[in-house]
Amino acid sequence: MKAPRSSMGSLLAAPAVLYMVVFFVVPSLILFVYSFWTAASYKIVPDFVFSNYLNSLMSPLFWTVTINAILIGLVTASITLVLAIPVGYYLVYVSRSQVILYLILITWFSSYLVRIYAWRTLLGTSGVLNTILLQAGIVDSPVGVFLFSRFAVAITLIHIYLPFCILLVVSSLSEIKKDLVDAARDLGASPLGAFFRVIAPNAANGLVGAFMLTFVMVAGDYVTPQMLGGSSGQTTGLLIADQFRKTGNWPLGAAQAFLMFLVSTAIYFAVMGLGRATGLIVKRRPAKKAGA
Amino acid sequence: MTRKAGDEVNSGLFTSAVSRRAVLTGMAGLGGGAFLLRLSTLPAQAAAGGELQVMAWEGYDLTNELSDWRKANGVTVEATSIANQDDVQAKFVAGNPPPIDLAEYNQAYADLYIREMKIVNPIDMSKVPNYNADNLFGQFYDQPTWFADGQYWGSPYIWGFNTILFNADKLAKPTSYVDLLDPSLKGKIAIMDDTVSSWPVAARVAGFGDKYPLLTKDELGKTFAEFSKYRAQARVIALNQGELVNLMVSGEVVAALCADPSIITQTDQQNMKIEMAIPKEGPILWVDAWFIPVSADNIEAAHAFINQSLDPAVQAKVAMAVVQAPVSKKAVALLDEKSRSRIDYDAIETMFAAGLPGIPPRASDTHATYDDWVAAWQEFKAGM
Repeated sequence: MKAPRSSMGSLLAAPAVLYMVVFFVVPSLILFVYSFWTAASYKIVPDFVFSNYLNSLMSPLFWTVTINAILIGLVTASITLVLAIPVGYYLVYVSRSQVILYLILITWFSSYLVRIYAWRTLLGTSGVLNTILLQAGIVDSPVGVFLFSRFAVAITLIHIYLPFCILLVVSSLSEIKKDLVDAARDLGASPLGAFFRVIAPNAANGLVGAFMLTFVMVAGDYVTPQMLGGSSGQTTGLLIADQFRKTGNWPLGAAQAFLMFLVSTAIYFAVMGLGRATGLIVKRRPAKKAGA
Repeated sequence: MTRKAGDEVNSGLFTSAVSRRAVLTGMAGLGGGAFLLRLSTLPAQAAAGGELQVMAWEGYDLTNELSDWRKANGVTVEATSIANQDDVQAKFVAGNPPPIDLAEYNQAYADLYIREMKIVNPIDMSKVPNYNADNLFGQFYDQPTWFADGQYWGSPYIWGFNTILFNADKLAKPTSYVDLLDPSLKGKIAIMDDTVSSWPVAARVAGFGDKYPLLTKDELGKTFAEFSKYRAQARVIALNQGELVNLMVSGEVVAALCADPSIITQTDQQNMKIEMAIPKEGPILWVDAWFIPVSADNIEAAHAFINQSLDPAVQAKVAMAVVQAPVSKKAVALLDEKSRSRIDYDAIETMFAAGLPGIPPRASDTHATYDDWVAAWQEFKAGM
């Protein structure tokens, strides 16, 4: 029976695998090759140099925007995950309401750009937030730092990626039976204790996945930082986009994209290491085969 | 017309002026009468029709001005807006550039496009009868920036200047770029993410205006050290003209350091009183031309489009719409009073006497290169 099941699996996966190979793996390899080429004033020359990597690593600009991207990514992903977990918990263990889930997802029905412009309207000097603060007498003059700042980027990205993170958290928690939570409570664990001792360790991989996916998308985003970040919101994504769209230095852009990939990978391992060190992530042993 | 900017890299285009004159003299001697006759006959014009992909600055794609012509000739235009001249050449960096039939380019990029990147198809001016000495100002007709080696590489289309724009209800008319450093304007000005205009301004405020674009690396450092004061003063680096309109209308900024006055038409529609101010350091003069990229599919329609864009009535309409100036001298009489009085067309020769800004050299042992400027500009945008 194993062979046919395996064949069926390969057959079902084949279209997706083929798609990813053609439209992701191959372009990524081409981009990787580009990263060793050279370019000057819109002319790309096939070569084999490491200067794009070395120059980027020694560039204060690259590190400034990369650290900025990492900070925005970590803050946004952390807050998003913290906000998503209670909602996910409620949807999985308390309500199971599809209506609430649809209400959360409905924000995705609007355009990404529309949402960015909506935040501009809210955060601007004559925007809703400043108007409320002024009318309440909390401030004397409009607060300028709401817009074109890291704050503006982070708050907008949290709004944009929260529904996505909730979906991942719901998916992760759905695999943990409520019986385990009930058992923990019966044994005297508080609701918070049950979460940290039972749910979190069992859902750790899913929660880390939700965190990392949100982080990667936020840290690589270049539209929101460009439109809401001002100079403090410049990120690596924006720098890379500029290399392709404006300066025509594809090799440098490709090298910076791969460096950002390495940075994201390093952060993944750092998060996993931190989780294991704090006991939130438990290394699972492989299940023993029956009768072994 | 002389051009001091970019001499180091563009000399080839200018030294061809003699041969150009010889060619023109020959042409005139052989068939001046026939040439005039050709201008008055339709068959000489390119046949229009089909889809035309156009890259142009926001508001400059002639969407409104040529709507009747498009309908009459069965032409559908797919326009892509450019926010920075770099948007155009970036499309041609790698193989398989998009099939753009027509694009605008600033005069400073002529040598880069024509000689270095070789992304320009010659224009067959026999299919552009509106391109003639009777219609165009002498500053744009057969000048070496667009006509070199016996080939027409670009067709001048519109000219004007970028300058200080300000909210007249909130701010007294500035007389210098330095006025925008007033502490009361901190966080209230915008700088455009447009290197063509911003780099010359940076050089001017740093005292290197006369040398631009041939600055040493040391001078480039000093230029951006000085220009960083404006960065610290700015609320934002505006991505494009549309964004500047939003920023002005929403009150986020009350002035733009150096921007295209074409936004005034849009701010007027939203009852926002934006005006232009000419600083004592001077505005940034420019001439945009159409070029047909090597990747063009519909070359016939591209020629027809260029020809129509030089029609005096179309020239007048677009010049009034974007608050700039026509290359057609016949169009001046068709401008409304406000547009006509904005520029002293009788003094056009004086305006162009000092030349037009170029771009830094691509390679140089003595001067900061284009790539050096790009790197400095990226650091500037990141607030470094």
